[in-house]
Amino acid sequence: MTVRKNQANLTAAEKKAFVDAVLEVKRLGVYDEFVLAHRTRFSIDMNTGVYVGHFGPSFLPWHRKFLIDFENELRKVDASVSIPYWDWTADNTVGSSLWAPAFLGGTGRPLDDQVMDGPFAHSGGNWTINVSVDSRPFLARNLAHRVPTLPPRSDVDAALAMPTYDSPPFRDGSTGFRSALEGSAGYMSMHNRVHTWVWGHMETSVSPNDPVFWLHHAFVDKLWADWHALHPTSAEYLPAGGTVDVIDLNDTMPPWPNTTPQDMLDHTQFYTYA
Amino acid sequence: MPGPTRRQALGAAIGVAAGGALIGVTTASADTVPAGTGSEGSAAGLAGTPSSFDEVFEGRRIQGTPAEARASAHAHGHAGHGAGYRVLIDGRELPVMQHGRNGWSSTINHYERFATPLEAARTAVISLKGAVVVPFDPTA
Repeated sequence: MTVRKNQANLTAAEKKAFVDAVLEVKRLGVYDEFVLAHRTRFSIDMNTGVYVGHFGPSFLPWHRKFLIDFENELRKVDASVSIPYWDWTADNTVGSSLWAPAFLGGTGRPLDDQVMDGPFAHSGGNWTINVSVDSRPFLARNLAHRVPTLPPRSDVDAALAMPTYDSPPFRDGSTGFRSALEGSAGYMSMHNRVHTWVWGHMETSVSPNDPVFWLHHAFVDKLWADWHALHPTSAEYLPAGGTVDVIDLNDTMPPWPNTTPQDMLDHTQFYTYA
Repeated sequence: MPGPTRRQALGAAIGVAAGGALIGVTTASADTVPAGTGSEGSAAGLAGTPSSFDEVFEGRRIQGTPAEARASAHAHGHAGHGAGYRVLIDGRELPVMQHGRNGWSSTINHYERFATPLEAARTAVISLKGAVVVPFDPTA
C-alpha cells in the first residue's frame, strides 16, 4: 500500500529514493509527458471554456488522477517511493529543508532565476526543460519574490470549515471549499498563491517542470481528504449531473478516456496519508 | 492506468481528447458564442474589450490588440484563448486568457489574475528575465 508522508518527516534515504525515482522517470522521457499533459489541459480548457483541470470543480479529482499516474511511474522505478506532501502552512520559509541541496535544491540566482544547486540544477545534466512555453532550458525559481508569504493555516482552516464542496457557476468566483482551496475565489490565495510564491516554472502552465509541483499538489489533495472527513454528510463532489460545460460527478475527465470524479472520491484504494 | 502500456495510452488519450475538444470548440464558436461561455461571455461583454497597447517595457516591445478571436486563432494555429485578445512580446505571441470578471492571465503567469492584458504582458516580461516566449501546439 502506498503511504504518502509529510516531506518534513522523510529520512535522508527516503528523500534520495524519491529524487532518484524522479530523475529516472525524467531520463526515460515519461516525466515530460506529464508536463505536456498539464500544458495541453490548460490550453484546451482556456480555449473551450470547459474548465477540466483548473478553475472548476474537477480541479481536485483531475489532479488526484494526475498524481496517481505519476506516482505509478515512480513506483515502477522504485516500489518503495510515494509522493511526499509539502505542508506549506508549516514549512513556509526559504530556509525549509525542502529546499536543501540534498532534496529539491533552492531558489534561483538573481540573473535569470536559474536553480543552481540540488539534483534539478541544469548544470547537473539531469534536468533540462523540454516541454515549455518559453526558451528557458533550466529550472527557474525565485522563492518568496512575487509574494512574500505562503498561505497561513488560518486560511486553510477557513476553507476546511466550509460545508459545501462547490457551487454554481462552478468556475472562478464560485463559493465553497474547492474554490477557496484552489485560490480562484481571491487574489493570490491558497493553491494559486503557492505556485506564485515559488515563481519560475511553478507560475507557468508547465508548472510540473518543477518537482515541487507534486509535493504541493499532494498537500492540496490531502486537504480534500481532510475536508471530507470533517464533513462526512456533505457531497464530496459537486455538481452531481446535468451541468453544461462543467465536469459532473459521472462525466469523464479528459485526457483519461474513462475516469470520472466519482472514481476519484475514495483515495484510500490508491494510497493513504500519514 | 497501470502497466507498461500506460505511456502509450496516456499519449493516445491526450490525442483523442484534444481532437474531440477541438471539434467541440468549432461547433461552439459557430453556434453558441455567448451561450457557450455562459456568464463569462456576458461579463466580458459588459466590461468591454481592453484597448490596444504598443510600448517598450524593460527593453522588450509588448503589443496588444483586440482580435477577431477565432479568425486570428485559426490563422495562427491557436484556438483564441477565449477572449479574442492578442499579445506579442518582441513579436512572439504570449497566449493570454480571460477569467470572466476575475481578470486575465497568461501562460507565463497562469496562477495570477491581472486587470488588463497590458498588466499580464508586463508581468510576463518581468518573469522571463530576457527569455523569449515560444509558440507551442495547444492541443499537443
